[in-house]
Amino acid sequence: MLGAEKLSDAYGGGDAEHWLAPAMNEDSPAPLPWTADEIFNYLRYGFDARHGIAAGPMVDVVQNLAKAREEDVRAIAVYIADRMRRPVRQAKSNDEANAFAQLQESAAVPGMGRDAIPARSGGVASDSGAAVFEGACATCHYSGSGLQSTKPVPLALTTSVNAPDPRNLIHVVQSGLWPASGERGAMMPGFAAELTDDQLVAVVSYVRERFSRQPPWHDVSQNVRAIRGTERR
Amino acid sequence: MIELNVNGRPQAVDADPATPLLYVLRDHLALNGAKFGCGLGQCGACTVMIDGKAAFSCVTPISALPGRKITTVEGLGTADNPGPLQQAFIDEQAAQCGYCIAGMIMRAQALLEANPSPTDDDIRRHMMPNLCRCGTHMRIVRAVQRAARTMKNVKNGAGVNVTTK
Ligand code: FES
Ligand code: FES
Repeated sequence: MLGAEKLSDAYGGGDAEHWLAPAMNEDSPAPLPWTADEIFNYLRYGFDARHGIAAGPMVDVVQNLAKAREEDVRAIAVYIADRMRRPVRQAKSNDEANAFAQLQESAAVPGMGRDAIPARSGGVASDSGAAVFEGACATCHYSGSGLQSTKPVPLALTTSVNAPDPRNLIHVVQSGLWPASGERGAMMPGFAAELTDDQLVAVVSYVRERFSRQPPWHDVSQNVRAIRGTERR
Repeated sequence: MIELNVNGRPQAVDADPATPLLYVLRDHLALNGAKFGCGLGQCGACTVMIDGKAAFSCVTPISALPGRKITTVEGLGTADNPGPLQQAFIDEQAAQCGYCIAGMIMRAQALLEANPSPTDDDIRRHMMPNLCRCGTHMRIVRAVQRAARTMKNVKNGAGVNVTTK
């Protein structure tokens, strides 16, 4: 029936303005399960250090929730955390996810004095993706770079890098993250002018295959071409 | 060797493919207009144009550049023969320490190429990624407006030395 709820798929995620709205049920792509406090951070401040930064259509949601009463936002967070019903087996993989994140963040950026990480089998990532990552991303997204002023969420823990499709990561690499005018917030430059479509494809594929234990994406190229031109600031 | 096209001239550069363009401009090609401010894509001091769009040269690896057109502030004119934007910045005295200015000019150039008649609001929005530590912003906006007028007058055949105020 039109407009009816599909209860079997509750919180299963979907599409919002060409972004992927990630699942909030047991299919959540987040490597670390969300706690109620972390959901609160994300909804209230647009940022959680173990999951990522609100972007795309979520920016407006966070701006609106900033005006809501704090108890109400907390109540939403508690409710969502409860509905996520993450299976217990996920909990014991926390250490593993953290260890993987630490390894990938701190080891091996070619050219930064260590050996390159071998590409994982079945992937499409190339040397050109590694070179773009090193020249464009590693100054910030590399824990060995020793920059205390920029503390990004480790890529291996972010939802966009671990999501079932590359759309959200492409949006962020292309447009960057900009706080609303006059507001404080996380900032990342976009690379729409700096990188061609092919280079965006290369770096997005490289980031997926280096920082996620999920299978490689094979639809990066179509999505880069579809998203090109929708930059927003 | 990586082939770059800078200010209309082909340049073969012997550097690692991941080297940021900014380092190559300054250290290999002696084009010192673009400045190192943060190296993180957060300040705009290093702004150049790539294929007509404003870009942070500090986070652009040269491997991304073969076949593309790079323009730096040196490509807009010389001290003796400044381009319209450079002249407008001089006329409006739109610089204090000057560190941000080459980047400001290049971002403004990209704007005027895409939109020859920007409103003040268009200018503010477009220039947002570039920071000026000295607070020269009001003069910068005036300089961009002045350059827009000069460029239009040149196009309409009125000559460069029109009074625009
Ligand atoms: S030096 Fe490139 S943005 Fe600051
Ligand atoms: S004039 Fe000094 S930073 Fe802009």
